[in-house]
Amino acid sequence: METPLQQQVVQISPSRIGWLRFRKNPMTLIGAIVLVIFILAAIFAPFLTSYDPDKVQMAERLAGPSAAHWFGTDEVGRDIFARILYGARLSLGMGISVVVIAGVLGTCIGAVAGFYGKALGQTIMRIMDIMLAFPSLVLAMALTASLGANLFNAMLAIAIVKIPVYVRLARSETLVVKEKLFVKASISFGLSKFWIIMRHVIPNVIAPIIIQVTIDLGDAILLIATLGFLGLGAQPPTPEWGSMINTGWQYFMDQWWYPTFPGCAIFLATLSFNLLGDGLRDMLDPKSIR
Amino acid sequence: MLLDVTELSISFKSIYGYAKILDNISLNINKGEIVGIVGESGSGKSVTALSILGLLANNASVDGGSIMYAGKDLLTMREKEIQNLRGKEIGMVFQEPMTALNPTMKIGKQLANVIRKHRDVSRQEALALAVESLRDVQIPDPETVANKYPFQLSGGMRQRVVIALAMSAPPKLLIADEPTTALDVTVQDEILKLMKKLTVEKKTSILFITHDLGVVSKLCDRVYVMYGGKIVESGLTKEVLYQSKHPYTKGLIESIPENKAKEQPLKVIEGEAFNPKKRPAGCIFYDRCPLHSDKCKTAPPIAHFGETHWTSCWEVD
Amino acid sequence: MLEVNNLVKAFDKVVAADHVSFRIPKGETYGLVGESGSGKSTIGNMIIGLLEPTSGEIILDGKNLWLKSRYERPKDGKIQVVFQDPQSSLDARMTIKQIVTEPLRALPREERKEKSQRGFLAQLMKTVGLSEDHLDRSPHEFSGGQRQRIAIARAIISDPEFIILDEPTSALDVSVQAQILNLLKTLQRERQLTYLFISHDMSVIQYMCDRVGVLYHGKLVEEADTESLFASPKEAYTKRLLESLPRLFERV
Repeated sequence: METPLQQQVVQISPSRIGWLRFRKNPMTLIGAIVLVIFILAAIFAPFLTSYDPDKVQMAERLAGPSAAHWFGTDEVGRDIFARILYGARLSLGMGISVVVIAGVLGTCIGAVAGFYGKALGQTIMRIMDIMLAFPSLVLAMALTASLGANLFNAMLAIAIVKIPVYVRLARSETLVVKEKLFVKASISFGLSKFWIIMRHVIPNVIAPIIIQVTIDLGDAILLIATLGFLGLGAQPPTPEWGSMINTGWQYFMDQWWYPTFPGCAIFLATLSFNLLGDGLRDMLDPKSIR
Repeated sequence: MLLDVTELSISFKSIYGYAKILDNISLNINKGEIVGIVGESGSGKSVTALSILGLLANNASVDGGSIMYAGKDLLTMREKEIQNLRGKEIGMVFQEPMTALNPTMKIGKQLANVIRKHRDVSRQEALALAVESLRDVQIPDPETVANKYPFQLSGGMRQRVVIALAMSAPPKLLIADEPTTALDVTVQDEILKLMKKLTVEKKTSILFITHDLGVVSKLCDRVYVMYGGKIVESGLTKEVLYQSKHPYTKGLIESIPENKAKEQPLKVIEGEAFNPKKRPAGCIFYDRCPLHSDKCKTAPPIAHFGETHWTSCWEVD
Repeated sequence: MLEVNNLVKAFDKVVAADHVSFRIPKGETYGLVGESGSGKSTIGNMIIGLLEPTSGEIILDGKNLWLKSRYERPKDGKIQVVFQDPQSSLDARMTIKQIVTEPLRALPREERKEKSQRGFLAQLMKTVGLSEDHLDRSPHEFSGGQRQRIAIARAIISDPEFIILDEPTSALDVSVQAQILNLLKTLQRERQLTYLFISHDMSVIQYMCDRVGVLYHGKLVEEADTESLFASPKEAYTKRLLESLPRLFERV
């Protein structure tokens, strides 16, 4: 029996509801704006600064923030502002690709695990359980250390570490969708399981995945930076925010700008992704209808 | 008169828009009566029930009217005052028994808690009274059941427990919103008989909301037929069901497959269920009425048939 | 047309279907009535291939539908199903056209092409009481009754001979139910369909079905043609069922 409120819902599509809610949430908007700024900064880095982030200029080393160097310079005279902009390319670029790969792979594995159940599903889930037993940072560190400390391996490690979450998420959503009548209807038409997973399961499972991706982006950026800070990720002279702090923290007392600006960059980037993720979750969650 | 609803209008506002759900409805219940409100989706019957006890969602606004109970208007009462009435004088039973019961608390304890709220008794006494009230709703072996959790009971049993909860004061008025819709027909039969019995024993009046005309014929003394937030016909049950005057009521009775010749198609009411966002200016049933004419573009008058029976339509004599 | 022999479905200790047997000749509407836990939906699910029987046979036109734990679905879309809930039986993320033509994917290429034509689909929409421009919309734009019509259109697009109707009107308002029941009857006449009509609603069963089987806790306790069953039920449970019906009219 439909209630009057449900009847009103009949006229509005799910996407319009989502957009209306998105507009109402200021934090999400702020997160989105900050993120856009970062992305633009990363894309247009060469236009926003005339400095080469790798150019060593010993004469200007450890200079404070000034008109010439907005964020100051590091211990070999490289402009920190430039390094942050180019670093944004690294952090955002790496972060996004890592999470997207983990998301896509994880969703596919999870959907299969959920749909096929029994032996295959259980095996997959137990493997995921083992992976999840380790704190993500520790596992990433271990993987990077054993594979060799460089940016590529750091990315690989983070991707591996992030996959189980998506597998779990995708699987539990798949289990729910599997029981829906339209999936049963498709089975009753004799359609292949592959078709059903691609056409019905994944589109209906994708919403929480996207939210998780946005949140994980923040976390990925943090992880890359952490590994960089620990010397396990990007290696100097690559302008990666974490490794900048790795070298920069010892200068903190006298040249506060050196570790601070990269630190702020990490903080803001992570925060804006998190805010966006929260907002997206509210937007896409069908249960919070008011 | 126990409850007197006069010209009640309620609308809902949400990000989807604004919709008027109840449009100037008036109904009443007297002591010892079982009154039914029957309607389909979009009729506003559930909203009517919820508004009595102030249980509407935050985005509902009352646009006019009053709900008089014991000389006071429930709509203007403060939350605290209404809270005192809830359960004690006006009880409510909903469609889904699982949502009314706390899944992590034993049945006996839940009942005892409610009893202690309404009556000044000790914990042991309350537990004993709880078992008694379970017996009243014809639950076999009430002592054992009192020790069980809701998930251990069947749907029918749970609904009996909910009725026991609602009747624990006992209240003067019980509002039942589709209490048997989710139950098997044999269980429904027992619950309906139970409710009739309780009315007599505890002198509780019942306002019974349903979409099932058969249930109305079995249980209710009087009935209101609602469509699109308006009452289109009202009277004694036998008048409304067997001497129906409004085209909607007639149409409803004709669409029921009961007792219809198999070779003939059912006479249908054309069109889809009422959409509160497309409220017509005149008669509410205009779009779907087989008798509609230009007259019906203005609100129809009330036509009376005898003391108790009336309907709102242009096409009746 | 359909033969069910000694069908059993057991979930661990619970026996949902207990040695159920019945036959449905071509062109008939057979009603399977029961309350919750009776096993009626379980039986429907086994016949359409969604649930594997523990034992027993399901034979359609002489061919066994279940062979060695595999469901041998007739490749020509001979058997289709209409479910109860119009909300969740249609994928909200598809257009009506996609929903209605989905069963065609399992059919031979020729037929698929022919039936995907706009003209054919427009006619199909008309048959179920909808219009051609509905094809490009999404399910959320329709009411429950209309969605059920879409589900019916989807079920008949493969020109089936046998349709399982699993509580097709239970989630609908009474006035809309009447429209759908009329539609189902018209379609049956025009297309010579055989129906298995599963429901808990006795008055709907009485109106729609030629013969009825009464299920109680997984067992088929009584089976008779509709008139006889309603006029003179033999089993205690059937009598109880009929007595509990809240009736508007005195029993004829």
